[in-house]
Amino acid sequence: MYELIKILNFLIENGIFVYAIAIFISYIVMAILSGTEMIRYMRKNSFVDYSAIISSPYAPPVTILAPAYNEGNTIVENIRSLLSIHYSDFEVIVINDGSKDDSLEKIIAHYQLEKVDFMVNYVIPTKPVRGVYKSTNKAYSKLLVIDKENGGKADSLNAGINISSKKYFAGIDVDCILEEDAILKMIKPILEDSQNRVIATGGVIRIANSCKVKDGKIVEINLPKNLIARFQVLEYTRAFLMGRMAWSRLNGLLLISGAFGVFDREIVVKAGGYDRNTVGEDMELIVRMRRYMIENELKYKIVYIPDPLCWTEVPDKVRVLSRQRNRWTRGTMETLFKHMTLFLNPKYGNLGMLGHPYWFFFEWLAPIIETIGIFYFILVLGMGNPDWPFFFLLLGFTYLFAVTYSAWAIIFEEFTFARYRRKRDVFRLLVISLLEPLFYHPLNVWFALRGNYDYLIGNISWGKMEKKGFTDKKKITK
Amino acid sequence: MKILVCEDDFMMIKAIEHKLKSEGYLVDVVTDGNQAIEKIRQGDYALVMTDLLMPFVGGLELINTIRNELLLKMPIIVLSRLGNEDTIIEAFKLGADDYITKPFSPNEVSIRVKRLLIKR
Amino acid sequence: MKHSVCIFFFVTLLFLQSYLTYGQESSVFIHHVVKSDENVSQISKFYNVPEDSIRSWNSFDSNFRILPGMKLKIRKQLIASNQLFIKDKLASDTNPVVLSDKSDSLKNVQSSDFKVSASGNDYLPLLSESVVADNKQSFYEIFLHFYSKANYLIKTILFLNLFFLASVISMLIVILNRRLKDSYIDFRRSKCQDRYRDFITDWLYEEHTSFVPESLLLELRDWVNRDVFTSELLSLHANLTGDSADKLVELFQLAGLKKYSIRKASHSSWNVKAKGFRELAQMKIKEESKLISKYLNSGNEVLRIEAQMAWIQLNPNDPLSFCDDPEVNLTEWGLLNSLVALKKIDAVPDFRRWLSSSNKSVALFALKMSGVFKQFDNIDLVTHRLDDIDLDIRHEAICALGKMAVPSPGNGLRQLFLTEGSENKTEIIRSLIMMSDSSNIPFFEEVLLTETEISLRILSARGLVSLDSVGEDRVNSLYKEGDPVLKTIIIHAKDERI
Repeated sequence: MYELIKILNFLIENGIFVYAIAIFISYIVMAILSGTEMIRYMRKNSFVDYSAIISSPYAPPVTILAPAYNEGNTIVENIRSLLSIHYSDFEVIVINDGSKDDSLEKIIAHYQLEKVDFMVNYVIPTKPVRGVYKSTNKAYSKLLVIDKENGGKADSLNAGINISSKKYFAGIDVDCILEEDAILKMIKPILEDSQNRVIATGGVIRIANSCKVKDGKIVEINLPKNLIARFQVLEYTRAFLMGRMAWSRLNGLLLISGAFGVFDREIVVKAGGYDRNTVGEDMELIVRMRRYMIENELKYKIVYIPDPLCWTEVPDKVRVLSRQRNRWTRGTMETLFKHMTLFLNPKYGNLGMLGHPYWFFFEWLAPIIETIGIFYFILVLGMGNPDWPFFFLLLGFTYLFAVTYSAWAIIFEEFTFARYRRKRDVFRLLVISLLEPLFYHPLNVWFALRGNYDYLIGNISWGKMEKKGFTDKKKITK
Repeated sequence: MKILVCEDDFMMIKAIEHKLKSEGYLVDVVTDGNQAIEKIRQGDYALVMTDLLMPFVGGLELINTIRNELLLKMPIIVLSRLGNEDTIIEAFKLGADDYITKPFSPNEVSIRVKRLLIKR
Repeated sequence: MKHSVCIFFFVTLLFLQSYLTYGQESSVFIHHVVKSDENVSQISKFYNVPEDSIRSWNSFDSNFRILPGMKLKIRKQLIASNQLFIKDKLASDTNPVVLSDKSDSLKNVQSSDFKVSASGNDYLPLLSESVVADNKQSFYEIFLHFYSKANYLIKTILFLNLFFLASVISMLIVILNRRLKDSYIDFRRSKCQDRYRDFITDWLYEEHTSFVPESLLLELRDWVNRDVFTSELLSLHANLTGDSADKLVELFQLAGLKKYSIRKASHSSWNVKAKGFRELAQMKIKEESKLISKYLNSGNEVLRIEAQMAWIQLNPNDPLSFCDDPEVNLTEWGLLNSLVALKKIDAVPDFRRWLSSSNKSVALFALKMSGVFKQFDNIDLVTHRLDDIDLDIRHEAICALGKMAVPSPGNGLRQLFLTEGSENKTEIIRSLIMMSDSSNIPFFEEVLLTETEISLRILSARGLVSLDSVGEDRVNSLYKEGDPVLKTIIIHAKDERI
């Protein structure tokens, strides 16, 4: 018995220790890779003249797909914002996913839509389409609205893919605000690579809480007043500028945010479209597209650009945040387990040897191992005399590492796009980085654990996401 | 005669404004579609010159508002980089009278303005 | 700026390291309380230090008898490594070799050893009670004490902690510094920007001016001013043509900016060089085009594209000579840029000489351009490319024929249709539609009735609709006889809004 405890003790201690070292090293490696990638990108794009190309009629055609569910408050403004994108050949397809509110009526009224007889080709199976609408007003000729039975976001996107015929599509959340040249910047990597086929590109998602929005355009950028949102600003900055850039370089990117991504329609269709049965449909599609290209031995790339192109509202209440993170955890688990054959499988190159294992160990298992560590420590506390100096030293190390890492993320942001112009915003972010390991991080660990639990008991719901919207009419309190 | 120019590129504004003023017109400048609509409601313009890519309310929507909502008939010149044929056709369908692609010559602009105002 | 940060870090590290080492030098003695039956020899074996050392530290000679209760000073530095050694021995669970008998001090060691390991770290050496001195030491001394006992891992962690702290603080300083610098430059820019804008636009319309005031020339010596002036001038020039544009070029020369652009184009850093190319191209400084020629097939894509664009603008007689290079790599992005540049010079070369190129990217480029510029004389070569093995080349050839919108290649396209995949099939139908040739009607009809892919059927129905009365009649009669699916397809195709 004592022997067993000793062995367990040895395993847990050293296991956690090795795991922690591995995570730290991986963070540092990613930071370095991201850094070099960012520098390269910044120098490349510091003077690219987009204005000349934006109007080029030879830029490839792009469809913007925007699924919408119960967005009645803001849908009209959101669509207007989408229609004012600066690009030559594009269309906007809004998919009304069986909203229970008056979204559809509002859109029809404002944009003067009428039903057309559309031959819907169900290339990817979806819930039935009830109607397709186009505007009688030529100013809105780029708009097409699909009304269908409720089927979820993945299903709506598939319906949009079925109906669009252009070479590329951009999947976005309808309440995202895109910068004017977003589409062009996302298309550029596709056009620049003549050796590989770039099948998807992703950009940075920025947080729009507390930003001033007028008529679908961001006019003033502010750090969110809400604390939860502020934590997420730091989190997103870290994740995008120091994580995804590195993965893009290694061509092992597993996830392009559902909030904004540009995809090659042909490959998406050939890979089977979005999977309706998962809550992490964005990640799952990317993995499946990669598998398709690898299994068919086609040279490809998925590129990530650090330009802030898409602004969205993030949860500002703990309750809503917990639903979102819960869903993310379940989505991650669904994707990881569905594609378990990739795990350490050399046939799949960087995807199998780096990408999948990394997500498996460092994204999925991390909260679990952390919890085990905490429980173990409490156990030790109870049993004997822990070595306090060493404990505090390690605690200090972990804390300082986290703070330093966040500080590096802030520096990356500062030296590249520097969207937060006020000095005190930068200081506020630094303060947030000091608070995050103490408050926000444990919260996320808890949400992730709940997610694991929900996954195991088979909870498949999407969870109600409450959003305030950007209209000036609404007073955003706080 | 008053001309309204909608353009968000500062240097362009200066160049066009200078040229038109030197020909004897009164020029008002706005930098986005919303402002343009407001000004048109208030004032009496002989001609409107607009870029297509403008913040808030785009050029096409502006033309549509002028022709179909405000029911005004003054000549509209579209000035834009967008060389896409479809866009040009759309602009004319909505009611524009002339279309000049950038880069352009200010002399050309002044000639076209004169021509459209004579017709009136 | 970055250099000074690095230096700061290294200095901090060196400072810390030397301080801590120094701290180690002045190590504190530990006190060993003599138990009964202990003699110097045992103690020296236990701590694995020479007996003479113990005597010299405590200033007694070999005749001196140590008594229980006495406090002997043993130097810490030597102990640390020794205790690890002892610990290893204990851990291997054999009978402790070093110690001869079961003295109390050993028992102390053993029990605290297990206690420590139960708390979860095998790495921290013993902190046995006898070592924690009973005389009061300050926190600082305890810390130094702890530090010198620590093994390398602890030292590393401590070190890293301090490093993190230092780096966060220095990052703060860096950010602050940069912000201050930026706001200073912004301030300076805003001061001169309006003035320069007015000056440049006035220059356009003043008839008599052809001289730049001395004060302005002096101002332009400063790089911030020069930067603002150049960018305002260039951005205005990009929008204008005709004699207004020429006037701006004149201003550029008179303001003495030419030599700065040449300097930029010769700079070692590639992004500065690219900017220089752009300026030279826009201001039509032809003499320097040889500077650019070296980079027309540079490995650096951005530099390559800028060089190509500049070359096109500076060599209107043979703008695309770089396409002759069999190794050159032209991307689609490069193509878009080249189109922009070609439009500026208003002189388009005949793409014939590259249509048969073995370089795939050049061939694709030539095909696309032939279509864009409607070079009908090259139809034969383009049509020839329909037989190419490469899918992309065929695709591009099909598109080019469509853009030319002449009926003659129609037959070749229709025949190709049978063997192509769905993407090229779509393109073939599109191209045939653009030809507005009524002899395509039977083809469209056949596709509409027999194809399985719905998108192709819709497209060919559109083709019929586009062919005025004859085509429309055909469509209407098909509608009358058709099944529900066909009916829906036809209605869809006829709807102009879609």
